[in-house]
Amino acid sequence: MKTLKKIFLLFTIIILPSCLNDSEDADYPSSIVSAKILTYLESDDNLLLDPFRSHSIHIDSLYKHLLDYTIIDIRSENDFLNGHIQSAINVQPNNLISYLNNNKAELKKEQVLISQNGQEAAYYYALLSFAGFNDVKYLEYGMSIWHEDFATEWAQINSNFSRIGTFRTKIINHGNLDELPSVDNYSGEIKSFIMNRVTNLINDGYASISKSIDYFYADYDGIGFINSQIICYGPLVLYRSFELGHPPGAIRFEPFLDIRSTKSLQRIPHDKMIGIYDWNGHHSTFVVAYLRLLGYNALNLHFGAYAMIYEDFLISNYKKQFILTKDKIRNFEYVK
Amino acid sequence: MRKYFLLFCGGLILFFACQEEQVIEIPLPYKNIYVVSAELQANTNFKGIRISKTIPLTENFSNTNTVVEDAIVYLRIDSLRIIPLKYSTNKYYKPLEPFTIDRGQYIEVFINVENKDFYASTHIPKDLVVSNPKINNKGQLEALVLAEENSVYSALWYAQNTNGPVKKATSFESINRSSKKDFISVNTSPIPQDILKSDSLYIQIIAFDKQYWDYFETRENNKPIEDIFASSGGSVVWNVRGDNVIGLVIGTNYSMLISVK
Repeated sequence: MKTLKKIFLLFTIIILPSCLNDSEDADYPSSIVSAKILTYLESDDNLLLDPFRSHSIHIDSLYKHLLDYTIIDIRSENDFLNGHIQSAINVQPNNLISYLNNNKAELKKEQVLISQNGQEAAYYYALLSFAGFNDVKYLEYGMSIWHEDFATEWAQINSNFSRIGTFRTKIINHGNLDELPSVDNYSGEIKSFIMNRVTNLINDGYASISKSIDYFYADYDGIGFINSQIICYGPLVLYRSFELGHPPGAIRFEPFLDIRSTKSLQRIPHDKMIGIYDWNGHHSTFVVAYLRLLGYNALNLHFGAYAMIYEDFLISNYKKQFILTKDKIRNFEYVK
Repeated sequence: MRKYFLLFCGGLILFFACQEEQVIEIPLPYKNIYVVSAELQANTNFKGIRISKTIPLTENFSNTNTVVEDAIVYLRIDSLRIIPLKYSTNKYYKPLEPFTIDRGQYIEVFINVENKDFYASTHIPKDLVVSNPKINNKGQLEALVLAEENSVYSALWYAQNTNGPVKKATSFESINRSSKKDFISVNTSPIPQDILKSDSLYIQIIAFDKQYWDYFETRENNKPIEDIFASSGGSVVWNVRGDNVIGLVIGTNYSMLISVK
């Protein structure tokens, strides 16, 4: 019996471990998911990094060559039925990817996303672009520039932001380097993982990432924002044109440059709420989409600087070119 | 009886004539090995990382079938900053725009190719403190270097006659190190007599990440053995880790050329 015990003991000590699968982890750090996403995104000259890429289509060009484009109206069914461009197809945002994938044969060479005021379409355009849909564009100002009947939201902006007194004129330097946010549930190929993330972000909807500056003031302690970082995404001329200043602590990101890994991407705090604005809330959605893919809690300031310093825009011909003024609205025909 | 014997023999001949000839093919042993190389030189722009792979003996060699173009590659600097690298046309993985490697940084390289992960890390040596450059009695240039724990050191000689071309050493004589922060002597390879008479002689000290020591000591291990009494010396020590990968990712820091003569 003792001999049997010894044999069994020997078996467990020597034989069994050698039969076990060698599943030890490698003795070096594993890859970082957000770093892999960033590497994938930077491996192409994507829309945020390429200053020469055209994103939107001009209203007159669209009208002139209407039949050359697949017009995808992403507004609600009700809004669509209340008036739309004749050749437009109503596709809800959460069906965009499947629509583009399943109707390749019917799609025109380029597809144009149209929303109520442009920013929503710009956001989905950016997400689709990061997922590799490179023939999609969007109409700046959306249906609001097509006809004044749809421009009510733009018209409702009619005064400066009420807490403009808290704005600061001092230029703020970018902060210290910070880690990238962590991204969970990674599996499979990075390309399909990014496609899944894009699908999820589209399903979350533009409304979930679009806020007014008031939203951030819930986090204001009288001196600055505690858990938020505001970014002015625009050229120096935009930053300097704010004679009344910028939201407290706002930093400026030079378009196409500062978002790069070699510049200031990691100067964005990974654990704060990030509010981004540009002139009119369109291009800032690109940065929001990019940062959300990387795991940041980034939000778009709806209607951008225009919603904060309305009066300043009206007295400056330079600034007027970046907003929807009445003279830009075409009043083209639409159908119900 | 004879008839049966003849029939049997005929049948035997027919049987073997119909046998399929078996050609035994011995496959040439081949294992796909990836090769990663990069020198990260302090105070200069990052030059990039090269990733290539071995090919079977039966395949014709060309620059295109050995270069790996579809890897996901990024650097992590000081355990914080991520710099993605993308394949560029000159066979290097480079960042979107140039950036400078700084002395003292700790740089890690993450590579993913065909679902395999490779990893390397290196310290960028600090700037060099060099003193007492001289020609020693072996015809070598020599200097004292303040050695750091994480670095090893070597030296190259440069020679020039007035208005003549610059000649330089083609290899390192030795690698030197110290276990504590202290001055150590570092020398070049011996300078040929005719060059030793040049108008100007300079020494340049090069600091490497200490991992270079193991590579340098073992670098000739896989050369063919020409001495019949010698035995194989084992494998070369690389610092790129992962399955089926070899290579070296090493931080360096070069001193200025220091005049000796």
